[in-house]
Amino acid sequence: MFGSCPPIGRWRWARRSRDVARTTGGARGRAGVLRPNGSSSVGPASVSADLRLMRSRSLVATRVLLVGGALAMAVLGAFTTYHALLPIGFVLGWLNLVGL
Amino acid sequence: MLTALTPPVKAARENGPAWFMNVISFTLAGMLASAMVGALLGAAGQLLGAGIEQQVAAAVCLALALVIAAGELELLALPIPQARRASKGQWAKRWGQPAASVLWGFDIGLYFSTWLTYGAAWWLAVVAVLSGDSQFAAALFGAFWLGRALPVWLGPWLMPSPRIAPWVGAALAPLRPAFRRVSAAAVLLGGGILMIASAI
Repeated sequence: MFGSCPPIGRWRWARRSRDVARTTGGARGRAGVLRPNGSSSVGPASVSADLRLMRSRSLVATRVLLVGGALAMAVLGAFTTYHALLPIGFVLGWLNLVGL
Repeated sequence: MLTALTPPVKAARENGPAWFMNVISFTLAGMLASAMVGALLGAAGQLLGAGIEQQVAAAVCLALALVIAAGELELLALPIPQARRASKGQWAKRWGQPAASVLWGFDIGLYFSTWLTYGAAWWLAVVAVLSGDSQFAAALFGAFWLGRALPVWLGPWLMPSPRIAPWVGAALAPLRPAFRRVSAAAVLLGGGILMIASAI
């Protein structure tokens, strides 16, 4: 009875992992490899470290872009109000990073 | 986007000049496609909505911004109409990296041909149409494209190693709620700006 559980459990987990990846457009999930927090259960530990580093860098870049976008809005908005929308478009484009 | 992001990261480590040329090609092709789509939307708005008053157009944009923000904040179940596809990774094998970079850029730059991810993308399209101004709409879509292409430019810095590529999507997934909130704030801000601009 219990002998049959681990494969089923692993299959379900694998499907969830794929779903997480698919949600973001990646469709590259692999069984027993990734967790939503970016850590990995197999493979070299440096993969987890690299993923964490990538995520923190993405956040840093996003914060910099938000500050830069606000400044650009102020500058462009001084010319014409409509042009203040351009930095908003830029930031919305960047946010697709997570969509991949 | 991932398919477009990963090969340049590998190329950047192996061959800097080739990487630069590929990313330039990607960006320019996407800019051409995006500006074209933006200009078409602006021209369509000019043809269809010549009679719409500026204040009405701004009110529509603000109302749509409120709906989309509610969707992004999960206050409202809002489906995002979109082509549920990513650009083809196989193009690099079939036509080589330089040609694939152009094709990826053009394909993703067409805006509606791949994942849009956030409802805000539709808000931007509606703004482009209601602006009724091809040049402004092209610039708006061009700005969106530059933001979309930036991760490819930053790829070598963002991705410490190309071997993490299979897990990038899942690793970034936890950021998605925060990005959705930013997206909601951005459209609300944009809607507010349009209302102010129409009132001046």
